[in-house]
Amino acid sequence: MSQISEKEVGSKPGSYSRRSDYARRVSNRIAQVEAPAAGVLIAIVFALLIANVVTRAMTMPVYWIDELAIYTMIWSAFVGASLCLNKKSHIAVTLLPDMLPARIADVFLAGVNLLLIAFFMVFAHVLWRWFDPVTVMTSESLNAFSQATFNFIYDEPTTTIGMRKIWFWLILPVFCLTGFLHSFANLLDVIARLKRGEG
Amino acid sequence: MLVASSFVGLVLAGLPIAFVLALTAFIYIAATGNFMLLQSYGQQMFGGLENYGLLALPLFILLGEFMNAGGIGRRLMNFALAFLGSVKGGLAYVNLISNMMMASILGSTVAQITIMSRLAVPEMERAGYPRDVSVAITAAGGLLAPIIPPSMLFIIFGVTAQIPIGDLFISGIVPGLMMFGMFIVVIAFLGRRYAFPRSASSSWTERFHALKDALPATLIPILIIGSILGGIATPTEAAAIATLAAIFVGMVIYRELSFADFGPAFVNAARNAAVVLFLIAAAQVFSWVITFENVPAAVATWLQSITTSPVLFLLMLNLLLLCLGMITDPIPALILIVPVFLPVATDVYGIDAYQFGVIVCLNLTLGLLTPPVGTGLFTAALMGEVKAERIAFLIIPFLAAVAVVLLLIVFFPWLATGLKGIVG
Repeated sequence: MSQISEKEVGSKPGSYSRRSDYARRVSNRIAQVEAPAAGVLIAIVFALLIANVVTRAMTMPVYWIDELAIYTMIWSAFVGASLCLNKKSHIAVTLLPDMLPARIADVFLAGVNLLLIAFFMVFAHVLWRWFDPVTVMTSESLNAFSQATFNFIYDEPTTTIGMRKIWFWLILPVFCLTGFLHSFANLLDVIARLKRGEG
Repeated sequence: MLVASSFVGLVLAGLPIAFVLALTAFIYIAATGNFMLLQSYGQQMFGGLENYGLLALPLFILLGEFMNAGGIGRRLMNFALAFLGSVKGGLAYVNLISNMMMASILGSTVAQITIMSRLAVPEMERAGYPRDVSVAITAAGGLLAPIIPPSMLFIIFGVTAQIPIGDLFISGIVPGLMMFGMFIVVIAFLGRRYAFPRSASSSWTERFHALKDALPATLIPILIIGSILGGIATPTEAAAIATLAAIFVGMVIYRELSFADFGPAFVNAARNAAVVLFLIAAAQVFSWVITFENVPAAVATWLQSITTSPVLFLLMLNLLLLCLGMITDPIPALILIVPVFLPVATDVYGIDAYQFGVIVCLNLTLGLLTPPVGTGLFTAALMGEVKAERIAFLIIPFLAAVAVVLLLIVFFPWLATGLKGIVG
């Protein structure tokens, strides 16, 4: 519900608020996908664990269920962690900002969002170097890539599922992108609010 | 030094704690020029969550969501009411006992205070109890959540300390019962002071009906604790089975839960779990980086220069935890404390890891009910529409009772470790 009021705030006339309005719409649209996705993933974790109990009780345990349940939970965690940036529900110590006047608190909030953006940019750089997409594209094979770079990201197997781990690691770049977009929209909201306060 | 000061600065500025941890790890890497570490950063963050025990966390949160929608809490309370209503101050004990039963289903103080405020406070006020005292008793009852199994804090402690979560749950039972006993004494005292009323006595037919109605609901805590104590199921499996049971009881027996409730329950559980899980992932990166600085070893040397007595160490730790708990939530505090202090406690002072875990979790929960940052306190105040200052004053006897339990566990470790030895 909170994003609706933010939208109303953002759609007031002014050059800055139009840009912030667009970023807010993108962020909210992503959140609309993230919420059900995280919920479905948790439902899958639940179903997998029930399946585990049932198959074990029938003395025919399926050995890969546990590992798959863990990866599903991790996906849900990263999708949810991004969503919580949109909903602003991460745990933070707001003792100091709460004591300050609203405008100064907003300056702090802008700083916090800038820090988040900085984090996601560094994280993107780190992930880019780890996934190394350009070198992979130009390598003859994944094997040749691993041998040339000593980066075994594309070789790492899962223990029981029979898939490479890279498929599960792919949630990290998704998290990085969506987290960045949410933080960016949050930043523009605060700046728009600060500008309006000045005018 | 750079790492420590940027850490404190970022926390105070209001940056979410999980991101403080993740960002500080970057700052440390940059400060030391150890850029090779960056190549494993993503893998460490992901790997921090690759843990079977952690699966219990979203599942117990999910269980809470279904319990909330399925009308199970109300029946547990009616059951206690039918048998204890006619005692002087009966509703106050009913509140506490319902909290005890809820604690054996839910693992979170705030979730429990939310549900119990809605159930118990209006009932108590109608019966003539002062509203502020009712709210305070409800808030205090929430303190049982993190110590009576299943407990979210125990799950996180077990994962970070790498000890079996089932055994930790068992270690919490005796301290939990001690707290319950002390709270009964406090309520008896409050009952004299504020002249708690009696409710009308229930007939045996009414009692029988309340019992019959509550029986399926009591099945759930019995299922959880029984299967873990008996070694039949892991805590993760117990949570899954209990959730299935809660869905069955809510839909088929009580008919209060419908398929329409499923979507919100799963989404809420995913959101709440994600906050905690991402915190754990970020903490993994953080503690992986600080091990390069050898922080635990430095802390150990420093502490040893102050005292060599385990009891004195634990008392100092309690003081530190109390301060930390006042300004932050228990989960981030736990995540910060364990990697640094647990190795010191076990290796240097020879303290049992389970004793350490019970003390840390119980102490940090106190912070939920103390100002200035007390999520549980403000939840109770908000739900009960009473001033937070008033509740903070009224719960002092309850907090004192917990402090006594904490001291007893410090001086008599077997209170936390004894039952585990008998059952295991």
